[in-house]
This record gives sequence, structure tokens and C-alpha cells, in this order.
Amino acid sequence: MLPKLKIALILFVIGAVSGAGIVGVNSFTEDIIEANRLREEHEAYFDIFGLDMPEEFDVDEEPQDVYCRREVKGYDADRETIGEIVFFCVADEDVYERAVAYDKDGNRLGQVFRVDDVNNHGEISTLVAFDGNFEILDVRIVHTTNTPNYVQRIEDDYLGDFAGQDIRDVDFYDGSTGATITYNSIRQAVNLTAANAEADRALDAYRKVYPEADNYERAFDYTLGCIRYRDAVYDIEGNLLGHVYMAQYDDEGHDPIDLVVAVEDETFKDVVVAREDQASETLMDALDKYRDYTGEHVGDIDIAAYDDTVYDSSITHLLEQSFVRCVEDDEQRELREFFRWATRTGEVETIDNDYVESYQPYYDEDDELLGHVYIGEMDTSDLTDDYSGGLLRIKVSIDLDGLIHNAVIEEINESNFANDLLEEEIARYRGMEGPMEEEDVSDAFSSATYSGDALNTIIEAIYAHNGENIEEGE
Amino acid sequence: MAKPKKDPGLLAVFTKGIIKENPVFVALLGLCPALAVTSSLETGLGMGVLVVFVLTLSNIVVSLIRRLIPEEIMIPSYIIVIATFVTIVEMLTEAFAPALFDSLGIFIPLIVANCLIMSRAVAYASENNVGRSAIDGLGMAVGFGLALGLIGLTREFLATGAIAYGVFIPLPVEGAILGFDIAPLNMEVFVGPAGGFIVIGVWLAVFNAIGLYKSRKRKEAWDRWVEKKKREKAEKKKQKAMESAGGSA
Repeated sequence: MLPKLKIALILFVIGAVSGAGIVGVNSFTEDIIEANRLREEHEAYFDIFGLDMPEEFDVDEEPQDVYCRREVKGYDADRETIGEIVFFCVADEDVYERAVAYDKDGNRLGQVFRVDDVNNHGEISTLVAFDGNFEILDVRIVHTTNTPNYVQRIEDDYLGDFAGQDIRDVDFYDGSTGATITYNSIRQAVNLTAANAEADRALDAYRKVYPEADNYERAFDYTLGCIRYRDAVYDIEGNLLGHVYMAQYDDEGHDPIDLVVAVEDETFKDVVVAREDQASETLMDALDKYRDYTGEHVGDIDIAAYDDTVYDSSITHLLEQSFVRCVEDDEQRELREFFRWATRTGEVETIDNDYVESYQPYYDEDDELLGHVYIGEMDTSDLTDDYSGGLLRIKVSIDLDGLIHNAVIEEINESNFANDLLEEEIARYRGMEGPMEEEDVSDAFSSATYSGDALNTIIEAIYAHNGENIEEGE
Repeated sequence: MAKPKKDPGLLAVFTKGIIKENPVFVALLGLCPALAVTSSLETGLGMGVLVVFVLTLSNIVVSLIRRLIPEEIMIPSYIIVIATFVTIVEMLTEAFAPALFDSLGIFIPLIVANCLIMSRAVAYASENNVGRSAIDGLGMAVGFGLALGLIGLTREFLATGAIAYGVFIPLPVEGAILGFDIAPLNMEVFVGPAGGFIVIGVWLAVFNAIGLYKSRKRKEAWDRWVEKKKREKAEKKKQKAMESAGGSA
């Protein structure tokens, strides 16, 4: 027994010393490695767009807004600006991020999507760059642990073939490359970029109304009807330029039309065709007639149906629907934020509870009760003596089946880092039927602050009260 | 009683790995990286430098702990030691020579499976003192690196007609020497795996030929020495016979 223990002890000591050595070297090199990776990646972005290689960079360490906007500026040796790359997160989880490149004069050069993949040979990060005409500028591998010889072969023989092709219609190499797994990751990166580039067509369409548009946020997804969604459009500084409605008319017997209708403060601004392939001369002429209404309040516009062209009735319908939506949205946006079909609310009832302040019933157009919207709060600094958090106040809508329709943070007093995490955490409740089990509350979050636990405690209290409400309702 | 074999000097321990017992061209060890990362001189030498670090330090540590390690766990213990140094060298390379790291890729962690390193740990470091083990590791690794450099130099020159420097190894200068226009010969095959096999085969043939030439020369010298001794012996015998004949007369 003793010799075996001795053997185990020796192995343990060797392992511990080895581990300590590795940890020490890792702590010394990890920052340098990360800086190397970032610099290499940033240089690749500049190189793709034919910009000079910067001597130094100014890099935003933290994302600046809800789009995870992050700017990287490159300077030459005399500190003159060479160009700028602005990074954004992408809703598609398979795409790591999107970047837009500008030259020193602020001219937009194109976009790059970075796609990270893990295949059977290891990791691979690919950049796919294309210009404003969706023409691929470059496809390159920025980081990979795939077999170097295969990667070299792909880089030498195949990546160059992508340049000049339309990102939406790429002609891939079909034969065996001798490095099929690596090439498949490249193919996937190009396809994902194409899918997301298509989605970003919306932004290109919005620029016809707002040339300085740089990003947009989905304000409302209507799901039903010919008005598909309402987007808030922002410039590069993040200033709100206005709202647009993406309207689609695709009835049988008509040519499909996708229009962008811009409305500001209930005033009609412009209407443009969203897709270039639909922009026939007839349609453009038809749209021109509606621009007579520019500057008028949408409630005052009496849209007459023109009979001149096949498009007139479609355009009229789309504009009418956009205007209706606009008026409804401004009146009922807050209602719909919590229950999609809500048209009115009931009286606010206050509650004598530590964590639940009040609730308010919401009704649809038939006066049917849809559910209740609760306001709950908790002072997270009460959780423990060694934590100085602050007031966390949330608003949660729960229907009569106990399903959470929406949950938003009304007030929070945490660090920016914790704020972002809490936004992610509360989003997880949407669509849930009840509070989370203790083990499901995000560990990463609750170990960073105590607000994850606080959030769940408030929702538990709200649920306890919601049960009483439902029973009373029945 | 047999006379104990005299230990070779430190210089002999160091130099044996470079030519006489060269790991690649004589012992045929570590052929996987010798084929995979020698598409250029710099990558070959770069791998050689990493192996110098790993082999020397692992030999030192193995020699230091050799009396503490029971035989049953000798191999796993040595593997832990070697893997530790490989991991450290991997992190240092990624931090300070990222181009070399990207170029060598998976072949850096694969150093841990290089039979040269384990063979020196088991066959030499586990039976010798720290100083001799360190010199042995250094000599073997230098021989390995030079072999990789030679293969890389040959392949790079045959494929491109030039030898680049400062591309993968972080030198303060970057450029290329030689620069023959051999594009019309279209010998890019030498940067690929097939070229690696061809070049290694040719160099193995050269080293074997040199070895055979040397052994033939040694045999000839030996034969000459034996012949000379035979002649001297016969001469002595003849002289002795003449002296004895003269005496009797």
C-alpha cells in the first residue's frame, strides 16, 4: 500500500509543479498573445480594403452601445488617420461580428464579416469582405489551428477565386481540394456572410432615405400584415435619424413590391423602393406621385388611389397601412411592448409586498383580460454586507397562463459590465413559465454580482402574487 | 578483469548529435516534423530552436529527478515533464514569434510526441548526471535543428530560388538572399509533402554515402595497418632467421 501511495504522491508533485509552471508562463504571456491576435486581425482588416498598414491603433476596449459598436482607428507614423474599422455584433450567433471600413475621409469602403468555426481539424476564423455592390473583395483566414499545409494550399489555390464574385451568388470550387474540411469552413463562412449581407440590404435601402444611416434597431416586428417591421435608423454617432416601415406587397397577380416608408413625428418623409431589382421605371414614376405628400401629417393625408399603373393600388395600400401603424405605434407602443394585442390598460393596483410594488391589468380590443404587468424592485445591497449594489427595478408582463411575455429593467445601479449581463439575464425570462430553478440562474452572472439572484427573487415574488390574481380572476 | 569503458568527454557528447549520431540523418528520429515544417529554412530552424529548448530542459529535469522516480512511473513522469516544456514553449512562441507560431501550427504541441525527446530522456538523461544530460540534449537538439534547417534550405531554394529571412523568425530585418529566377523550372513541388520526401531521401543518401565512404576508408586504413604489421612481423622473423643463420656459421 505504502509504495503505491508513494507513487501517487510523486505523480501528484510532478503534476502540481508542472501545472504551476504552465500557469506562471500563461499569466505572463496571455496579454501579449491577445494583443498580438488583435493587432494581426486589425491589420488584416486594413489590408483587405487596400489601406496602408497603420503604425499604431486606437482601439475601443469596450463596446460603445447596444450594437456592441467598437471602433478601431489606424494611424501612420505621423499620427495621421489612415482609416477606421467599426465593429458591430451580429444577431446571427454563427457570425462572430461585422465590421464596416471607412477611409481617412470617412468614405465607406465596404463590410467584413468574421465567422469563427470549429471543425475536425481545430479552430478557424475567416474574414469575408465585400463592397457596397456586394462584390467580394477578399476572403482570408485570420486565425486557425487547422493543418498548416492544408491551410497553405487553400490560401494559395482557392481563396483568390472568391474576389470579384457577387456575395449572393458565389461559385464554389466543387472538386476535391485535398483539404475538404478546411474548405468547408470557408464555404460556410461565405454562405453565412451572404445570408447576413442580404439581411443588411435593409440598411442600404434606408440609406436612400437617410444617406448618413449607419445602423438600425428593430423597434417592432409586426409578424402579420404587409408592414413587416418598424426600424429606428441611426447615424454613425448613434443619433436617431428617424423611423422607417418596411412594407411588402406580394399578393398573387401583382409584382412583389418592397417599400421603405419613412415617417418622422407622424409626418410623412419619403417612400422608396427597397430592392434594386424591383426598381422599374414604372414603379419609380408611380412612387414620385406620392412624394407630393412629403411633410404632411399622416393623419391628414387622404391617399387617393391612382389608376394609372398596376402599382398604384399596392403603393396606396402600403402607405395607408404604414400611416395607420405609425399612429397606432405612437399611441400603443408601450402597451404592445408588454402584450402584443393589448389596446388598453386597467387601474394600477399597489401591493404591500417587499419585492412587488404594483400591477396593472392589460386588455385586448374585445376587452378580454390578457394578463398583468408587474413592477418589482429590490435593493441588492441588502443581500450581503460586502456588496454595494443598489436598487434593481423591473417590469414584467405575465399572461393568464403564467407565461412571461416581456421582462425589462426599469432601473439599475450596477457597473456597465453588470448592466449588460443583467440585460442578457432578464432576456432569458421572456417566454418562460415561472421563475428559474436556482441552478438555472446564470452562474457567470450571479458570481459577478448578486443581481442575478435578486432578479430571480423578484420574479418569484411576482409569480406568487400572480397566482393569487389568476385565482381571483377565475 | 575487463577494463571499464572510459566516458567520452563533454565535447564528444555534444558533437555526436550533430554528425555522428544525427537524429534525423543517422538515427531517423523525428521525421514527422522534418517533413512537415521544413518548407522553408526559417520554419525548419524555428522548429529546431523550439526543440533545443524542450530537449535540453527536459533532459536536465529528467536527470535531476531520475533517482526519485520509480521505474513503474518513469514514462508517464517523463511525459509530464516534456509536455510541460512543450506547453511553455508553445505559449512563448505564440507571444513572441506569432508568425512562426502560425506557420508551425499543430506541430508545436506535437513536439511532445517527438520520439527523439523521449528517447534521450530514457536512454541518456535517466542514467547520467545533469551536466552530461544537458550537453547531450543540447547537442542532439542542435543536430536536429541543423538537419531541419538543411532540409528547409534545400526545399526553399529549389522551390523559390531564394532564401527568405525575417518572415517567420522575428528578426529586426526582413528580406531574401540569392534570388535566382527558377520559376521556369516550376519546382514548387519541393514545398509540398512530396518534395519533403524527395529532399530527405536525397540527404539521407548523401549522409549514407559519406558514412559508407568513411567506413571504407577506415577499413582500408585498418587493412593497411594489418598488412604493415604482417610485413613488420615477417621482416622481424626473416631478420631473426638471418641472425640465427649467421651465428651458427
